[in-house]
Amino acid sequence: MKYSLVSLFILFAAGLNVHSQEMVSAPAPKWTKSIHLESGLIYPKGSIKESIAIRQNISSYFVNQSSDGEILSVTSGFQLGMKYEYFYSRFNTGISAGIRYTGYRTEISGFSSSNADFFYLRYSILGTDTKFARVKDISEVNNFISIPLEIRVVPLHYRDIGLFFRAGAEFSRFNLKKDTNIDFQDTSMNSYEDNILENIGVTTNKNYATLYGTVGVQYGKENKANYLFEIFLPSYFITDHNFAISEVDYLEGFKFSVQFPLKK
Amino acid sequence: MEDFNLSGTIFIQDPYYPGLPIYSEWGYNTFGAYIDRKPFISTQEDIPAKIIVNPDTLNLILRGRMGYEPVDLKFSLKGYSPATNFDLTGLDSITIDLKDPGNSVSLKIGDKTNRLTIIEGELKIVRVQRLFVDEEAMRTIMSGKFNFKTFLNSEPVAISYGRFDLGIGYENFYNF
Repeated sequence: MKYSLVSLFILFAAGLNVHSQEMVSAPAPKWTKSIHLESGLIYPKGSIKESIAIRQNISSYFVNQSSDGEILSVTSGFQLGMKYEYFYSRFNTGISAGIRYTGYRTEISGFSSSNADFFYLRYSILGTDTKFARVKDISEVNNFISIPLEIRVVPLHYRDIGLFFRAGAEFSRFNLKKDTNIDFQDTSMNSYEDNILENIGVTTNKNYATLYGTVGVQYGKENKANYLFEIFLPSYFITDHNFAISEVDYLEGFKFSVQFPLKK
Repeated sequence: MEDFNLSGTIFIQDPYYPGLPIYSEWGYNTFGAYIDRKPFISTQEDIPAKIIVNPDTLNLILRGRMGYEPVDLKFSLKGYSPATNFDLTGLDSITIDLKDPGNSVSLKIGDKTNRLTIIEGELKIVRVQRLFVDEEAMRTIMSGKFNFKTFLNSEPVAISYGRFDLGIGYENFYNF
């Protein structure tokens, strides 16, 4: 499913490219090289992990309920990257590779009822004793350094504006800083934090990989700096368990980048 | 200090048994059963359960409504006499035959109380947990299921798919 989406997108982009080539007189084919500096925001979509036992977290039930509690889980990411692109103008297609930093933050917050600013996290079941902690939020930070490999097709170009599609994958074995924290309602519980985190299980996959597609526009003259804005199509994590407290299904987001041509 | 947020009722409807709460073990303070085909369930307004121990009999009273009618279902279980609500853990994972001598069940619908003759049936106390919040013992959660057949107005009636998930604390445990 993941791969077929990207394959379809590449075929579609290639088809458009051929069509556009028939309509306009093609420039002399040549390779150009450029550096891309990129920055973007990523929004993975998913739900709270089943292993995080929160009283009244009923998002997985599609049923009627009467309760004024609400639990939310939000994951967002920030990207910075640099890529080197080879672009072959005959096919209006470029390939690129580079290095990228992605910092993710996940937060579970909510309240068990309208008169409370906390929720109950179950962290221990031992015999007939069950232990809850009153928690304001649980947060997790992951910082990945990855290597992206991408193909970009510009099927339509009119004056200084171009429409492009991009498909890519990124791989990482480097999670620079992984951290999970609990903000307790009762600060005296801070001394139990490590024990509670161990009990609820916060280990993650060492490998990180995504497969993504984007659609975007670029603006700029040939051989000058170009500005690119692109939106992620629903894209996927190839690796599982990249986050300790949330189960992610797919990601969305947008990215802005500047492309600097390099002289031969 | 008792945490008031744990006393509230959280009603999550069972998708397989419409009108009844799901079976849970979180202390949602709910119960439900079908009396024939009518759901008898806990409400937001009434304390859903009281436990009264006197002297060697444990009385579990479930208070709710069937439609608009107030209903109390009372199980009287001989031979159980916990001193405090935390001692209810002694009832963890037990099944009680409601036909056993000494046990009895009564049903109060509106103002009329019926002492039921049990044809067959049992009360399963699936799980009893002492609930600690921020490392302090707060209350006891008692979860279980019940089914029985009886007579109401001389007609056989099944009280079925009964389930409860009750928080038992200072306000609803009595031993005197």
